[in-house]
Amino acid sequence: MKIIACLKMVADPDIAAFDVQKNELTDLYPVMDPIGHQVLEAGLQLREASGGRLTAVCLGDATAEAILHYALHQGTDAAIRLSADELADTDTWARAQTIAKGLSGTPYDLVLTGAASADSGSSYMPAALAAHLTLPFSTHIVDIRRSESPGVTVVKKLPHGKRETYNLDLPAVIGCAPGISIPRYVAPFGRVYRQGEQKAVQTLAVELPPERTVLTRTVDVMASKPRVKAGINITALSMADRMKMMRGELGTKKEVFTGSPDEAARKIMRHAQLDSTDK
Amino acid sequence: MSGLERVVFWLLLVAALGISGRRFIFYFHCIRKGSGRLPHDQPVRRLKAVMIQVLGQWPNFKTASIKDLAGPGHLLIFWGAVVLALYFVFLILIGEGLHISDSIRSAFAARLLLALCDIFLPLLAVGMLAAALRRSIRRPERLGPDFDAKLFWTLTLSVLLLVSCHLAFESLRLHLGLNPTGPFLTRALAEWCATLSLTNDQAALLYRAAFWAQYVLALTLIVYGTYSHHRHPVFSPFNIFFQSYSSPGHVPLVDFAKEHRFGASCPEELDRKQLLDGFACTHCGRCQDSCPAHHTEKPLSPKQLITDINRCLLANGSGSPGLVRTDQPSGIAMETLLSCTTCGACIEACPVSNRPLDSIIALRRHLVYEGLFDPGHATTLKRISQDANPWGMRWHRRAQHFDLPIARADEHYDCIYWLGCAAAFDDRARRIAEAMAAVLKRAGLRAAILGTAEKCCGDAARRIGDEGLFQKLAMDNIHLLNGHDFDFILTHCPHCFNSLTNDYRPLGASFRVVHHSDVLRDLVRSKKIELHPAGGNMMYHDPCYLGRYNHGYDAPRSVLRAFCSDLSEFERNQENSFCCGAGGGHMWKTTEKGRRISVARVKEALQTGPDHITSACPYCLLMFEEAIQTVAPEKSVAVNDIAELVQMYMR
Repeated sequence: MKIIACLKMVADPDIAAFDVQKNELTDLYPVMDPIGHQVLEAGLQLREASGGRLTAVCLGDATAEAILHYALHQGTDAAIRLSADELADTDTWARAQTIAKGLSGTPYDLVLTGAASADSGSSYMPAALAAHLTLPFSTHIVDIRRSESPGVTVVKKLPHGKRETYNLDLPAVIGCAPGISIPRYVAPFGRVYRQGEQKAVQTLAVELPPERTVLTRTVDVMASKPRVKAGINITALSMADRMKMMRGELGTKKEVFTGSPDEAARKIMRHAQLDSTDK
Repeated sequence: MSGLERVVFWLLLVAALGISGRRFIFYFHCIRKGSGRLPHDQPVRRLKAVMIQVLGQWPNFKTASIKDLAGPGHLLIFWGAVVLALYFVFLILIGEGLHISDSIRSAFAARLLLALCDIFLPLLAVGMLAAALRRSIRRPERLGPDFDAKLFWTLTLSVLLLVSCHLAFESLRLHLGLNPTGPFLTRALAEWCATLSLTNDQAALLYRAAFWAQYVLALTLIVYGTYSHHRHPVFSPFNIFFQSYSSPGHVPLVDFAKEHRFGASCPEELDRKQLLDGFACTHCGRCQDSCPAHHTEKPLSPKQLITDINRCLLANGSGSPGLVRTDQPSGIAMETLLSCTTCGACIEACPVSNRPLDSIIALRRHLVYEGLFDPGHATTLKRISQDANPWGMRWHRRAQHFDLPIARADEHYDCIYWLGCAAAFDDRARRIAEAMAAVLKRAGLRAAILGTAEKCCGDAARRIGDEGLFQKLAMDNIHLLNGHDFDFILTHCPHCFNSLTNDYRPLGASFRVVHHSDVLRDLVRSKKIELHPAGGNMMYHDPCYLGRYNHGYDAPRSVLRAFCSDLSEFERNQENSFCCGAGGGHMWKTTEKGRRISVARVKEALQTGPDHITSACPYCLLMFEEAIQTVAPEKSVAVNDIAELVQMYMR
């Protein structure tokens, strides 16, 4: 099976901050989109299970080569950077159009993308890409298996934890949801890493179609609300729980009560009453 | 001896030495298959070590106690065997073989040797008998798991028979008037022979029988020894001479520009010293007995590991099978290698200077090269790789809101306080750093931290076997530290201390790194901080990376004695200390067999009921706190770092 894993470079979503004064994003550390790690791993697992070839593809400037080198070190067979001018003012639809054009010379059975990226999160890259490639697609997929009939069996994540399993004919586009895989660790200078070192990132210049359509434009960006965990006796926790807490997987949500002292006290009392009622 | 007898005598000798010699040449070639050269710098120091460890048998006494008299017993066997070997060479091979016995025996040295035989050979017999009885009755666990008691009894009886034949031979020689006189035991036996009313012919026949019996037995034992682990008397002195003087945790650098792969997948990829270990191993099991992983039923025995490597080396004629068991039935299991906490107790305990830990790290590197990980280790390495800490926190959250300034490149500091990942991310471990910061402020030291620029020191990655990740972190940290102006680096974490001190040096670092126990001791001594006397009993635990790795035994105790009058020790302390179970990446390992090492250590402490368990390592502290909650949550035993206690009792 010939698989293509579409990766994206984003500003580290945990670190990027919003400067309210300047009305712009700051602390932009370019990293691979977190879902991209899982897309890549899903591709590697599928290739290992059914053979074939896995190619990592990324649309972007030369800085994007870092994640393609990472993909090669992880064990992909090839890596292609799609280079196009004037990407700055484009939206997902136009980028999908560019990627589809870039893939025209590469054979594929399955194109994997993230269901939603950590920066724009529009969630429609799989659909847009499938539309441009005129392929069937499915998104929010949490499991892909090679089926006995032609095609693949995919499991889709539905609201409230439900799962839906169905077959998808190939070629197809699949949007991978978080949880599809646990990315492997490849040690620097290990066997797989060394094999990746031997391979080069191929750059493919893609000319944007003059008739490209931009469907959406960003008009404003706002700062996110902080979430802080608190209220835990550290020494009473096991190591596992302590680490969970550190990662924000354990603990209660901290609330900040504002207003005059009386007002804040009333809010605290009300909150405590609600809390005890919940318990 | 008649002419025919002489021919038989020499033929037997040539046959025995030929068989043994051929085998030893094979062993020699096996060792030469290893990489690198045997360390041989400081020859005087090495010779001294041979004298102390071999002739003085010091390591055997070091571990001796009323409960374990195997060490002194070995002394009897060792010196008995030495005297017997000298007797065999000078009085049998040269004297009897060349028919110059009478002239040799008249020399003072020969008479002295015969007198020594009368003293040491009975002691050899007693030592062997005691060893055999110990193996049959007490059956020490450390001699297992594949100890063959029957074989040892056969060996013991052979030695007893050899000693008896020797005494019979010498006493009959005296009885027949072939010797003018003899030492006390021989003389007494000769007098006893006189009371047996033997005719001269009978005595002569017995004399010849005793001679041939001892000769054949001695040759048989030489051949047997060559093919069994009792070859160790030959190899141990060499192993001690060529021992490594680096700290127990020393790990050789890999030059990734030159070496395409790293780690050892087969015995030939280990170095020569590591291969020599297998030949020198006495199978005494002291390493196994001191191993925390083995003690807590994990599938690791350093002794078994060394013998498995040796077995694998000897088994292959051309092209060795893989050492690590992944898809093959033989070899060392991956879980065995990953069970090691790298505490170095096996190195400390070994009487012949074996270093099982070095082989474990080499084999672990091979696992990493092949991409074989414990799931917990894989997650941890991924976290370190992405966020430069094993805690799984994003790197930009390191050391937030800490009460020391972030170091600036254009300012001079007395010390850079290297927080380490534990204090930077774990709220409990952070209290150590906060306490230390308070002490530094009180003492007036100008200190700064490195904030988010600091990265994991790479200790866990290196001990797990991920040399590539370690070197990446190390180079980044060295580059960072080189950009600052400071007198010394202070750290409270022995793992960071060991990395910054020992592991970074071959990469070009030349910083002065000081553990906080040393700083605290100096501050107390110079009265820059003064302490209230503390009540209650405090028990100090030696962190492996501070104690065994860097000999930091006195400083923490000195600090504690400055305010605590009731300082007690664990039963196993200092060089014999027992690991907390966190080292070597164990803190992050998910699948664990057997009991928990930290719980075993805490139970040892609770036997004497201290009020405080103190340590000088954040990992030990976290492990013990968790273990106390597991094993005795009702007990009010506090676990503290020495810095926390100093802050607590600071005036």
